[in-house]
Amino acid sequence: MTEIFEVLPQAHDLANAKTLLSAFGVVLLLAVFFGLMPGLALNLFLTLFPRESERRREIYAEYHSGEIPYRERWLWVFTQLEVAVSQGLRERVVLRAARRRERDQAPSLATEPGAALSSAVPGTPASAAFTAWLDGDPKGLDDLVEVLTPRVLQIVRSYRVDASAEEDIVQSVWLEFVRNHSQIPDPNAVDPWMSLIARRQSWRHERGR
Amino acid sequence: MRVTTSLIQVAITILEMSQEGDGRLWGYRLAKRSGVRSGVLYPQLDRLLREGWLADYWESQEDACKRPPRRYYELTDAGRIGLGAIAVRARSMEPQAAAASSRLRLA
Repeated sequence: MTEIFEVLPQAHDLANAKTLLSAFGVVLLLAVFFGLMPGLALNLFLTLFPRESERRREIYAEYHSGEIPYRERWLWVFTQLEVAVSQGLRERVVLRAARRRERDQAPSLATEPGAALSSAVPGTPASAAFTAWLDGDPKGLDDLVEVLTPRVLQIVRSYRVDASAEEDIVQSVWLEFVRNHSQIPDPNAVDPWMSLIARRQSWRHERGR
Repeated sequence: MRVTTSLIQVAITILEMSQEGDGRLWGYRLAKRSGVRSGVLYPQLDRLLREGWLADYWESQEDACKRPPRRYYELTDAGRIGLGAIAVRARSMEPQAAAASSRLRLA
């Protein structure tokens, strides 16, 4: 009986020591995380932003500008958590809503009954050129390139790709047009269809980088 | 535009910084000088951009050599007027605020 009473306090001490040790471990881990690897912590926080966010690149660039004194870095990184949570998550939600709207709108162009047959809808310069090309006029393609390239270029630039890559992406957009133009449901849909291809190609390029 | 204490601080800092050197502004320097933390500063910068009081542009790759290009802000003419008005109004309110607090202390 007396033996048990001698052992019990020891077991109690052991449990205490364990919690103390694990608390110390957590503190040590946090200290290492923020103190030694603030860059890693920052990258983790920045993943809350959508990939194409300007603020994400802005904050990343500020950390890597080498301007923040070494001793203040962990604190600065920690304050970016607030930015990432409040702004990054909101940007993500807004972007998702915009993408959903775009996705919901795109098929309606293809499936809307009458859109393909209606001749009452005034054609855009692009759709006129596209129709001419489909009818066998080779000049139609030149006109189409002339009319749509500024818009395609504008979309590609909005993804902030390198100037050297812009031309390649525009080329690949036109290549995809020549290959798959039979999928365009209606000549009037040529503008939005090309915008979609431009977005997709730019996005693909950015993801592949 | 709703004028808050932090906006006044940011306005004064932007006006000061855009008169020094090359007049380029960026987030970290602004946060440091104004004492406004990033979580408050960035939404304010977005507001000023939407208002057209600030313009933003990215540093070119050549200037940035060996580090990611930075995002710079620039005060527009409209911004100089708008932020100037905020700063002036804040300064004119300072004596009133001081008088009010001294009265409170007397009471």
